[in-house]
Amino acid sequence: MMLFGLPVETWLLLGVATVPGLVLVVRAHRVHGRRRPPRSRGHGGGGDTPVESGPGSEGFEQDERMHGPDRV
Amino acid sequence: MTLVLAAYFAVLVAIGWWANRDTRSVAGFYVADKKLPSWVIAFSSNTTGESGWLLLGLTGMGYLVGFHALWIVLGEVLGVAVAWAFVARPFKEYTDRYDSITVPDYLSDRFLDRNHTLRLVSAAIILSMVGAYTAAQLTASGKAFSSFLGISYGAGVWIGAVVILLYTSVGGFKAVAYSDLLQGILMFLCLLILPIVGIRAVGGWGELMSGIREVDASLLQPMGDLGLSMSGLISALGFAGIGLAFLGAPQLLTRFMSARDGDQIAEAGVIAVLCIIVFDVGAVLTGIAGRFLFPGLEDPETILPVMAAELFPPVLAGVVLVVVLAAIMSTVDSLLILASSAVVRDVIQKILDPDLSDRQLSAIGKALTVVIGLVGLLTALTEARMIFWFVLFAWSGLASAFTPVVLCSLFWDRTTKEGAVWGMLAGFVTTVVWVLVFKERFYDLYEMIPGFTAGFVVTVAVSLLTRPPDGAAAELKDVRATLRGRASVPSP
Repeated sequence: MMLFGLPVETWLLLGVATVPGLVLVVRAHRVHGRRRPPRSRGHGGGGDTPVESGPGSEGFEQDERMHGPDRV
Repeated sequence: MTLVLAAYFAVLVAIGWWANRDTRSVAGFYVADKKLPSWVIAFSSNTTGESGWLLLGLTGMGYLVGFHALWIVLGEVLGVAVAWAFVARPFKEYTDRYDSITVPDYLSDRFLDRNHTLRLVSAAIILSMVGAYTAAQLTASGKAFSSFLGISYGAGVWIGAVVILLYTSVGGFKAVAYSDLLQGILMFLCLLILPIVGIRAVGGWGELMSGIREVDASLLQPMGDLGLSMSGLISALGFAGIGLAFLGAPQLLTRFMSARDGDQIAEAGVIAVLCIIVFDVGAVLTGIAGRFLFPGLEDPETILPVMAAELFPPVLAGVVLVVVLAAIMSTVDSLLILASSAVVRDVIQKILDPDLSDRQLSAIGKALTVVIGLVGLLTALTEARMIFWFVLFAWSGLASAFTPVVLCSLFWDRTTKEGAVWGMLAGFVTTVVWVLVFKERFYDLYEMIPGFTAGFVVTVAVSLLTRPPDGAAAELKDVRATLRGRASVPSP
């Protein structure tokens, strides 16, 4: 069966080749991307507030680190 | 055309000069002090991985096999997506904890490599493969100059090498990454516009499809003229296997390491996948349109320059030359930095451990980048046949050596140093032997499939027979907890 001049199987391959990859990274972005706290009313403008610790924040700013060669 | 080229080279050198102020330390020179934003690491990762192969090889593949080339798209898009979604963040977390600057750095700390065996093996593999791959890319740039501008091959090699060495040695990884961003944007625009222009030249999508059906109906089929035969399945598997390298090739892992933070990685993943889709689908469609417009080409890998010359005015054809060179340069600059870091960081700083300041080491790094580049240049000038052989397994050999070991190190706490060493050697040697002995006898199966498999199996098998490093399980658990946002605080 043809769709816009191409076999349906080829459209299927194109879909499988592109959509799952996009879904993966968009989902990862939603789960792990920057979390901004909601802006409270009455505050006058200004930029983003720093990201607080919580789901999605990573440990480069952590105080406690485990270094490889010295760990017990 | 010459003016466009000169302007492009001037911009690259300016980027090198701009980035110079951040190259006073080893970390600054090799990973831009881990401060790069999402757009830069996304484009840099893609353009480093693609090289001239994208614009010449993949377009040629689209020309030759039509929509069967979409299996390459599948492999690459999935490879890039899985890398950014699952590999990048744990790799970034580990390398931040260890203050790693190179991939051998990370592996050495991850496996408590006190006698430097793992570090030396990985540095040796990097140096040998990167040297040859650099020579091969400079060869490609010489040929590109020669065919576009009519100048001699030798002059083309010299011009390409000098420009690359200038901005790379002066500006370090920051210059490499930001020039990759520029080059990636040019490649993106080229592979977005060229297929559209090609399809319009044919008379539209419908005309192209009916025209291709008349040339060869199998070009429209996902399995091409091989069908669902063993050859067809092996071909599809081999094409898809190209994407495996995105999960662990050291020159790509460096981008994850150099990200400013995990937020940049999350954003970069989306950008990288969108970018690779345009790159790859654009290249395949360019080849297919070219098959209808210019049938009977002796060398399908010339379809992009032929289409540019015939469909665009001369100025824009010059821009296409720039894009081809951009693709080549965006790979060579990263390879030079990778090779230089293997010597300066992994051998000189970590093993020999001389009494040298960070600034002195950075200066040595810059000098070494030039030396490695000159070796590649001289090799390219000889046009030695051996370059052809090295290129066959440079990309896949490097990836087969590192990918299984890196993946095991990130996700399996039972991985051991011995497993990593033997796994790297097994992956690398299998790739070389497969290309030289078995490939032709086994449906031309792409060597990364057996190479990755051998590397993975040996890493796991040897790890099960040996003892994992102390604390590895607890550390992996802590890394996972950190990434989930519930870090445990180690007890004193």
